[in-house]
Amino acid sequence: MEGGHHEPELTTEDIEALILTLYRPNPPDVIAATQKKLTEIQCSPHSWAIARDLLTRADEKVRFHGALIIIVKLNTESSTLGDHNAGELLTGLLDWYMASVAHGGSVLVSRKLSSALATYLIHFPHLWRRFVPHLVQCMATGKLVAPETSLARFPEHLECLDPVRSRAILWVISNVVDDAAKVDFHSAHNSELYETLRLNVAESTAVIWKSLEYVQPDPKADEEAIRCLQSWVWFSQKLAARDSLFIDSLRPLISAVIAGLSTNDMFQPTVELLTDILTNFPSLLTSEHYTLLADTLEKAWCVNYYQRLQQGDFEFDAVQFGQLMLAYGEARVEILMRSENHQDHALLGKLCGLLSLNGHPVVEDRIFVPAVEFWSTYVETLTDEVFSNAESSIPWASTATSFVLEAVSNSWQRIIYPDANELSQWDNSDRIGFIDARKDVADLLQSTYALTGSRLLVTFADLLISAVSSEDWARLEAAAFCLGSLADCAKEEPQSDEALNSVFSSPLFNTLRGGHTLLPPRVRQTCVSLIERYTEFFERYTELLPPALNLLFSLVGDTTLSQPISRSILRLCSSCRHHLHSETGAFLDEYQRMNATQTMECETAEKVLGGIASVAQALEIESERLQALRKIIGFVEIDLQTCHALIASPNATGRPICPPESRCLDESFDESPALHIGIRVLRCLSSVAKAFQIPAERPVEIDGNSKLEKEKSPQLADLQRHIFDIIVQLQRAFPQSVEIVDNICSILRSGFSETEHGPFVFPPRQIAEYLFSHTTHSPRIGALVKTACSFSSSLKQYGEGSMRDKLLADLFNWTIGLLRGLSGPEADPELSHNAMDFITRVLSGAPQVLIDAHPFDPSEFFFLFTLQALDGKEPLPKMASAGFWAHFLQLAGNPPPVQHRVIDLMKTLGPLVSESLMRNFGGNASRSELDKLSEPLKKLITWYPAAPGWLESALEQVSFPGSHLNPREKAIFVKKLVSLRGSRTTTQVARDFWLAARGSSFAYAS
Amino acid sequence: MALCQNRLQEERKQWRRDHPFGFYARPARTSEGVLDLKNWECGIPGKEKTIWENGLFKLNIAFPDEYPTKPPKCKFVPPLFHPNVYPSGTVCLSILNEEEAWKPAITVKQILLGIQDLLNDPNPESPAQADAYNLFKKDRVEYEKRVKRVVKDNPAP
Repeated sequence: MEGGHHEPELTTEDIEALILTLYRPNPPDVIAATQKKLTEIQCSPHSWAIARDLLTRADEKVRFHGALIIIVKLNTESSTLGDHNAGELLTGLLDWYMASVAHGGSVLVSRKLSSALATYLIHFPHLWRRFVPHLVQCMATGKLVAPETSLARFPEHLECLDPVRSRAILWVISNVVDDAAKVDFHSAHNSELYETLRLNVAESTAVIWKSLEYVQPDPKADEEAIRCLQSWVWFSQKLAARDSLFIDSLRPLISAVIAGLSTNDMFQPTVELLTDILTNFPSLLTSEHYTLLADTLEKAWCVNYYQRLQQGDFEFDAVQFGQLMLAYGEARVEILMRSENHQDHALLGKLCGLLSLNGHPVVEDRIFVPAVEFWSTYVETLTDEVFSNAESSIPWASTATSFVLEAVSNSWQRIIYPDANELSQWDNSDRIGFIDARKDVADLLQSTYALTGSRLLVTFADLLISAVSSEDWARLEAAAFCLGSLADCAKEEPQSDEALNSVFSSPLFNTLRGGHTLLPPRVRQTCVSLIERYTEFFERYTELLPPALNLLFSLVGDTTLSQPISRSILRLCSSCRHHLHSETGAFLDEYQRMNATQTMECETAEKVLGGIASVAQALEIESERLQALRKIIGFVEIDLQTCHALIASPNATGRPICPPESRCLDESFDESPALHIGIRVLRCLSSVAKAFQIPAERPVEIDGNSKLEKEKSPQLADLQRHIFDIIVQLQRAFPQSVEIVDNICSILRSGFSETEHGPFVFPPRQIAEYLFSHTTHSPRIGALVKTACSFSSSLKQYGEGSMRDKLLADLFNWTIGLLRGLSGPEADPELSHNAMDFITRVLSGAPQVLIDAHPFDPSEFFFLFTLQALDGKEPLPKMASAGFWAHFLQLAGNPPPVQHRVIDLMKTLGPLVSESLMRNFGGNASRSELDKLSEPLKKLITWYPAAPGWLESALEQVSFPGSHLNPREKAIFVKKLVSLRGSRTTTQVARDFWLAARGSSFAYAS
Repeated sequence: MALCQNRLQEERKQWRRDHPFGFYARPARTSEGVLDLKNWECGIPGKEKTIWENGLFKLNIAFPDEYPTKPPKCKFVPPLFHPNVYPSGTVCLSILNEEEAWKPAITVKQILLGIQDLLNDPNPESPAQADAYNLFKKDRVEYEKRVKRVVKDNPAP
């Protein structure tokens, strides 16, 4: 080691003072400055000597710091330390370590020194190859011998070790193995360390044995022995595939660990290690170990632990014992499942018993959730086995299944909610934990259903019916929860249907409807949700629909239930409309009654009206259908009148718009009451409009004539005008509201996909006029252009002809007018990209609108606008522009005159679009844009013979960003593109070029 | 294929042992009711103290045969209103992209936590749906209002 010259201005005393300063309360800047100074000292060339000096001082904090410096130096400078100096360092370290241990002084310093020795070994394994026997000899004899001394007297020396010294040796070994576990042994560079570990594993286990077998047991040595074994276990697992020496050496120790479970002092460390091994490395254990463990679990002291759990004792050690049982079960699940022996059955019985301990799951019972998880694994393993042997029967399956049923029976009763009083004492995390545990049970039930089929559903149906008759509400709730959880997996089977039929024909609905004012809201909620969950059952058993819907309508006013109930009403009415249309009048009356007596939340009104409208839509006779719709619109108009009244006098206190606790109110704190109700009107209309769409299941008529070209009835035309008038009124009343625009667009869109006349299939000219009334100053003008986009596609329903062409041309001019109002594509990216999408769509059906526009300057403006977008930074307009160009370029494949016109236009546009594309592939684009940008590139190559020339000259422009690419690379790129003739590989070639152009500055995040 | 199955078994085990609060993730079931390890149904809760708080958003994860060499595909069902979620519901996130930051060591837990982070911290560089992206950039008030509605429609239990 280097000589003892350290900085003259800092003596060992100075450094000692600095270290002590660090441990005293001081202002943060003093601490930071001290820390900085000490770090500098650690890095100085004299720090070896400083460390040595510090290690001789009296204060443990100072000596600790000395050891720390050595670790730092070893990790940073060991390569510069020659073998001679390293040998000296080892002698010094061992000397200090032995002294520290012998004096029985500070554990802090000894542990740090043990860590320094381990760090030493990691760096110099060849200088301390037999480190374990060497340490044992030094510690046993109290004399420092050279590492290369003959170590033949190892057994003798081991015998002499006292527990304190054993522990000190174990510290070093544990540290070595923990550090070695982080080393990459695939690298040849670490082969010496690997060999050193192999050489010392046998003696390591001998030291562990020795520590576990003191006649006078020493808890600290025992604990350290288990910890050391743990380190070896994880190390051996890491190398299991490569070398079995470690595992083979460790296995004999496991029996001692299992035996240690029964000793008070050893229980804690051994139970932890065994649970860990069973969970993460079960193959370490042999069948003898498993037998030993199974026998142990039957011992009186284990029975005692189990009984403590049963009595609701969830002390740490009892919970750990429960976890050991579960870990054993999990590791042996396949054996236990198949077993026909009494011992295994008894254990499975106990594992079932872990599901019925005293105390609420999670809140008190910490074993319930892991126990449910074990049983889920058991069921899944069993199900896999049963399904893979579908051909032959499995003799043990019935016994194995009986344990599952016992587990289910135990667990469902545990998810019953306590009474309100007890529940109120739970904190939030208790509640969430309990809800999560219920989900785990639901998961177990679903797994079990796969195994047992409908009998599980029948069981819960019976439990539910009996709970209704005994008025045991908490049990009713839990049974309904379990029954509901099976809805996703229940199949259409006579047995299940029969059971569900008996549930929904039972007095359950009457119980829920009323009469029982004491029925807790949660019970009602869970039970009512059964209707939603078993919607498909109701769709099959339509005779049960009227009582179910009656119940739903009677409860929809309850704000705690209105959300799921209105959802159920909408779903059932919509999907069963053909069975329910005769009830339209009754539903309308029911709604009228509700509307007269109470105010409904916006969402409830929207869904319930949508439901009734679905039913009305199924009426065969048009006049009846329209009459029902008129009534529905009438309900909506009541809100419209309130809206007008509020506009006229904002402070008027009349009918409240929504119940005070409504969910819709909290999100709309910034809305005026008038606007709130105006939005509600439109949302209801939108919901009704969707309901009036012709259901998709109707056969498509493939006769050439569009039904939309026929004349519509005067009643329908009249109702349409009426509805459109509502829309216009609200638009005028709230010209600046984003939500009003959004909802109007949603109503308009619902008519676009229709192929025949309907109340929401408004005349195209009327829709166009509505759109034209908007300018760039309108809110969400981009969304309106998007509506124009869908609208333009819907026009094909009216057939080709002058009406359509005229409308498209008007829409085109309107859109261009909007774009002209912008300073560039990035001024309003939403408008820009929707406008480009719109014109792209127009191209596919009526390209002449763009390419033959008279006058042509709107088209010219548009082409330049798209090029600007292609060169811009905004991703969506850029993508829309790429989409536009891909479509436009392909028009060259159309028959003349379109083809000729496009080729002619491209004489001017070709070089421009080529330049823009090359700027993107030259590095301006982001990575995620490359795929989309390569589309126009492919089309350019495919359709335009002049493209190679355009591209070559584009790559030479000053604006081309890839300045470090040489002419050869550019030429090869164009050559490759041409040879690929627009095929899919073009994307990859363009991507590679982009990567090359970006060079080393490329980052994934771009 | 075996690698994929083993890894997924291990993922399931790890998830059961330790998963973040309020999340769920489990393999879906085939029509016979058997677990389909390659398709998971998950739930991601909105983070506390964000506009997504109190929501629970359903997500399906589809693992390819080449998993974990290739990343799984994550899809919100129904599609979620969010700048980095495609109209199909597919999530656009660098750690889920084979060409970007995917690493075979990334666990299901990390994926779900990553997506939870993304909810309130969208990446404006890679828009996946126009609606949410435009509102996020242009009209934050309206954006937040829409998110709150999404939360209301997908309440945490």
